[in-house]
Amino acid sequence: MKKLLLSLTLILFLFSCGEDADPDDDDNTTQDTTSTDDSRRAKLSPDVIKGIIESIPNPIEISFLIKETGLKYDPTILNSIDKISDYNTDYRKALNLGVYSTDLGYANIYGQSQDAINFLQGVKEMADGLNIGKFFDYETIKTLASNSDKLDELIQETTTNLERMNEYLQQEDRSDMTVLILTGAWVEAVYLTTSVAQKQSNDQLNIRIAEQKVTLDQLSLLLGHYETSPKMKKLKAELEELDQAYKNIDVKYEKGESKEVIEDGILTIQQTEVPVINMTQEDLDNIYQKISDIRSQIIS
Amino acid sequence: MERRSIFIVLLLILNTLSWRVQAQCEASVIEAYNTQCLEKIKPLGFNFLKNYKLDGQGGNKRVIEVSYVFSTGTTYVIAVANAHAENKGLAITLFDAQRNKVASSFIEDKKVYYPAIQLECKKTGIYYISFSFVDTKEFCGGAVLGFKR
Repeated sequence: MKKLLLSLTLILFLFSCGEDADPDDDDNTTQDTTSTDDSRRAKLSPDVIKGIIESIPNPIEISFLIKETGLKYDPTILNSIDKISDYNTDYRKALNLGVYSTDLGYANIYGQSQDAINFLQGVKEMADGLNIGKFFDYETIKTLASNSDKLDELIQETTTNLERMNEYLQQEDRSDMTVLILTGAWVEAVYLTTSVAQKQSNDQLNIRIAEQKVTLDQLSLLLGHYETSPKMKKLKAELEELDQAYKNIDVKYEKGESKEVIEDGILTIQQTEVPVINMTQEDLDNIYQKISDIRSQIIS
Repeated sequence: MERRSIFIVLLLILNTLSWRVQAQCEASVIEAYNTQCLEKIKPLGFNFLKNYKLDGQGGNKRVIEVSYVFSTGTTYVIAVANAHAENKGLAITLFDAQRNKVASSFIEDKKVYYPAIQLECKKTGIYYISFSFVDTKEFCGGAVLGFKR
């Protein structure tokens, strides 16, 4: 009988201790994911890595911005899908999965169905090569891409699929692949923006290019965590060189008072700051040169 | 005496088990909440950016924080959904890069929960989005981030 009692108590104990955190501790678990000092860099926990990964903006935003400027679709600035078979290591597959996903978003927004389907194929093959293809619903996305009035669904489906891939990679302790996918996607997005800005100067694009320093810092921080890999270390060094191209650029905001209003039943915050960007054509050229160089190493 | 002890232990086990069942926040449930969020923001012209799964682990995790780089000239929306039509018990608080509070969807003195926060961004930077379970026993929800130009 004592054994029975002991067993029951043990079961109870196991169930009671299943949760891993003290509620009071969790109330204060907000972590600063922006610190870049070396001591933190060496100690990035999986939660911090996950937090930084989540903070990286979706490149689709940049594609919308490019289209909004009124510039025409330019397929010559996108990666070629003829290179798919050249990407034969996980490192290259992950980076180019990111590149193709950005190109896919760009083609989608401009309603270029055939190009979108081609890039979709690129994303699928890279994902298959990384054993995450099961999270990419190729057929559904292909159908949506062929249907010009389903842009919002297409973007949602594509983004959700990429989200699932990244989630799975992190669960499988392959966050390094997620970081490479994000880096490839971001490099391609900045390359597209600077390429377009080189052809036709536009204030909105220039502001967006200058402000990319924020994301560049986040990616450098992530890559720094994987510096034991020579390839990741080299990639980080490339981004540090790009960072040098940003050193003379000054982004400031003229202070303004935020207003709170209710719009459509939603609490709306209207910020009134005004960005003041100090960036010369030479700075822009330097960024364009360096990002082109990095991108060329990724896609070659 | 021993029978009584067994009865008490069994009662405790049942209580623990029932608490755990209540605490579960299934992926399919969260997905349904995310869909509800999307239905709120789509008619307002927002494009989808991200889903957030708000699993409060039965109350062990009352605050879930994420971050995102918001860009100048873009309007962002963060919408939440839970078991209540009025989002009761689930609040969004937005902080800027310096951790200054920008807005909260929960108006404490009126006990009102707005279903979403919209930010007309004029200052690029990292923003922290904090989801809190407030005065509730339901620790499950979904959130979506969207944007429009």
